[in-house]
Amino acid sequence: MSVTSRALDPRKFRDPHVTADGQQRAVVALTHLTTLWFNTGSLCNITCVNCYMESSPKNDALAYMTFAEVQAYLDEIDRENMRVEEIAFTGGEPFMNPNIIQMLEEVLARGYKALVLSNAMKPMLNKRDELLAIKERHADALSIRVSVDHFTRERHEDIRGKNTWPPMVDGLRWLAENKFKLAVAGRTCWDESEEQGRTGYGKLFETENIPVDPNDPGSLVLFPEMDADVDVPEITTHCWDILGVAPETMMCASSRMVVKRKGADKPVVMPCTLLPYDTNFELGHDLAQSDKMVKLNHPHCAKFCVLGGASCSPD
Amino acid sequence: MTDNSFYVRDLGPLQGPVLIFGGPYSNLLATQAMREAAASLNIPGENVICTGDVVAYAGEPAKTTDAIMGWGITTVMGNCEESFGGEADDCGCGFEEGTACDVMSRQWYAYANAELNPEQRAWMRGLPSQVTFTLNSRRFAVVHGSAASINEFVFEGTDNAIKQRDLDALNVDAIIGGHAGVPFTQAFGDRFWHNAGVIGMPANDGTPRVWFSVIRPSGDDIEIEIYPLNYDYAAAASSMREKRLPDGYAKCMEDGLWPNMDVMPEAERAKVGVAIAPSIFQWRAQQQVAAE
Repeated sequence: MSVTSRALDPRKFRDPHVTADGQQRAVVALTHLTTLWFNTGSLCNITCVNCYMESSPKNDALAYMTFAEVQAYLDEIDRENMRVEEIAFTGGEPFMNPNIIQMLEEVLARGYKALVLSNAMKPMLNKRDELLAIKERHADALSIRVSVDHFTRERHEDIRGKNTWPPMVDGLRWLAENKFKLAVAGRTCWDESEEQGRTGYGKLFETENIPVDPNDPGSLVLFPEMDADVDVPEITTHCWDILGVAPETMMCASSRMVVKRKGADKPVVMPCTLLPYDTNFELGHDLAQSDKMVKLNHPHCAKFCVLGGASCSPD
Repeated sequence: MTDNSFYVRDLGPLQGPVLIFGGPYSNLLATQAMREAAASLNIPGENVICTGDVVAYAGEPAKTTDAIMGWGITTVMGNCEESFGGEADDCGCGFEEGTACDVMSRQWYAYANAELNPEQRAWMRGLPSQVTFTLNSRRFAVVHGSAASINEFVFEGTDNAIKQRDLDALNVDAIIGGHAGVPFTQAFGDRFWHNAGVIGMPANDGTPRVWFSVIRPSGDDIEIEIYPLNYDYAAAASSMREKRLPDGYAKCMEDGLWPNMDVMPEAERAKVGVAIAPSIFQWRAQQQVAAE
């Protein structure tokens, strides 16, 4: 959108129970934990404009998750028979975590689907042999979702930095050539309709021979502008009916994300991938403790999930 | 305590969250899902209270009764327990003669009445008519219908004078009722009337979800959380059809709409088919809280 955005009203998103105009704030209950995310660490090889994670080569606010920590959560899922379907990894750049391959092996060996969100640049390509070995053993149980912020080099690099396009295209091509299960995450920060965006990505995929259906919202996931300082409405218990949106379709109804803060003794569970840092949203250290209602008391809850329909899972 | 008499069971001070659910209504699959959800929320049986009507419309009266009896929770006597326990001729819901509820209740009641064994009926007869507990220094009373009557329907839209009458009569900070089948929390100054809804049938909101609540201490405050419960409603409905129970209730399990709204006040009738959302009502300590 090219319209001038208003700054977020400071009276909003303060009381977890009540909105600025005194209405009961909407909440979401965990219907069934389907996808458990691990944030592998906030370090990334690049720095993108308005990255909601603020990931960069310097941001180590979220430490590298260790293999033993991932294992402990998988053990809890197995022990409690939680029927989780998918284990997903985001960062930072997950392939910068020194134990990512071991984690993927463990997840897949236990029979879960695995998803990695990556920029498909050098850190991923450094693991080519290991990834091919995993593909050999587990076939399509592993999917990789590559961030391509725009279908043109110019706009992609406006967000992701100079010369980030060619290595990303190399990575995307390598994944396609080796028949990895593939999805793409794009953004809609420009004055373009979703249709224009999907058409543009479609042409890119055709040119580069990338087997992603641009019209399938699960294969090409488009995210809105991620500026948390822009004004958004608060969500009340009445909004669901007015908007025709069911709370059960929100990410926090079926997902949780584990993060490890720098210097912390142990990881902590957050309601979704969009709120890694806000300690008001911490749900406890284990998954049993994380079965709590989530109060939609953050601008992201309104903008991306209730109003924007953002979903970070390809299914 | 003697059978068939009104008695109050005081659970004393409870620690940690308390889970409340109403009306299993012979719906075994929903009851099993409720127990799993309680485990997932880490709430032990001693902190779980059922507001009664274990047996009613659905297909598994005996197994549902066994599931509740074997869970180790506290159950308040509903009008159905009163009727089955006393081997009465009807469910005691208080439906007016000739209404759709009245006609259908004759069918499911006869079915359930034939299924229940003497041990189950004895258990029903021994249930308390009222349960009390304290949580964060606030005193709660749990009843099936109202404090005045086991089969009084108290909805959010029911005359508030009735709720205030009961809060005064029982001299408690909050009353938790069942029987009506739709969840709500309503403040009266610093006192509350709460209904957790029921797990045996949907809440007339056009969705197959059923409802329960968690009353959770939060510092000095108390949060009253109303949760949806998802379960295999299609299997529960087909079990009813196999047993040739009234199709109106089997259909209700699937489409979330009551077969009739005879007992509902106008305010609730106006909300038919409007999907209920999970909610948290915060009951702040030492503070006047306005109703929504």
